[in-house]
Amino acid sequence: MEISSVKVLFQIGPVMITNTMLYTWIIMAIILIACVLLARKLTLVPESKSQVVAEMLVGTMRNFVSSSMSPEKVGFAPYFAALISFIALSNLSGFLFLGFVRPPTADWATTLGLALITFFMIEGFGIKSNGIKNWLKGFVDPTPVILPINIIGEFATPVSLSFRLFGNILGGMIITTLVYQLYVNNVAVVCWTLAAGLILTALIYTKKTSALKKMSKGTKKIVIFVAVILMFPALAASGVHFYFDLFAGLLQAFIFTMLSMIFVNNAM
Amino acid sequence: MTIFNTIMNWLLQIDPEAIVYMGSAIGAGIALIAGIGPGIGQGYAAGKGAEAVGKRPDIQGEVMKTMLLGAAVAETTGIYGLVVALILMFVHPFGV
Repeated sequence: MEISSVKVLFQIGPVMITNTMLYTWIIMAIILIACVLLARKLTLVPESKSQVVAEMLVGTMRNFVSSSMSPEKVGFAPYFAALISFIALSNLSGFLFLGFVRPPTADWATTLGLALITFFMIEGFGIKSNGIKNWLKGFVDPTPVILPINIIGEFATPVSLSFRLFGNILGGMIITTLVYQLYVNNVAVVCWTLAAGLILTALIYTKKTSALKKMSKGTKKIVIFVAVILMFPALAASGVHFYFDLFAGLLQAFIFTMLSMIFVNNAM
Repeated sequence: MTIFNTIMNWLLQIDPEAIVYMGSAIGAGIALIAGIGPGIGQGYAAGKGAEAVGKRPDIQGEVMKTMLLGAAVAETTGIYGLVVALILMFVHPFGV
């Protein structure tokens, strides 16, 4: 299996629709449907479970925003909640949708778009809260000689934000594909996994598990060792998914959102 | 320099497309030397985090969050090197 790449699916006039855009629309639809389902029949005192969950999510996000930025900037919470949920869901989409979806954040276009939104927020809110003169003075601060360095430093912010997310998710996707190439067309691994499944099923159905409690410690260690060796293909694949998709995906979503918040806060 | 001549003659006889691939592969390998940076930096951050937890074990959760935040930001330059290597290996920007 080759590493999946960005493909153009069809064209509407001058606009090309890539598979990344299609998966982005699917993720947007999922988040939208989840929000609509959570926000039905709201009462002043929560009566349904969905309202408790919704209030918990909104409250967590507002606390996060007001502690990372200052308490009066809690109005940014809806945007950053949308940002972190979109990035988290699209980082996890590589394995959550059973391998049918190529993560949209594994395309530099998506991450650059999100980072450019942050960039324009930084400049826009900086100008709005400090005025244009102070914003322009900030570039020649402390000496006018470092004006080009300051300009490059401003542009480095969206570039580094986008590349951090893109590189992590694309690298994880490539490594996962390479690990799966060990399993494809490989008779030995298929027999290994089948043997592990059959032995475990036999153990469960003949209720030999009660015999495990009567064994001595040495025999138990040997049994556990043999079980790990039998489960090794499944453990290897799930270990790769856990580190690259779950851990790195969620961490990078959190990092992107938190860095955006810190940059916007510093500019205002 | 007859060694130089022999090497140049050998290089000129190979298909230029293969030389482009050779250069891209060597460049990709050299680009990932950038992996040393995050290794040292994140290890240092983890050490400082462990020291902070040792001084006050009751704030382990927040120390861990701060440490992970710092480590993920320090990873950026290593990711730059990875992206360059991936582009060289899979996009073949030079030549064919």
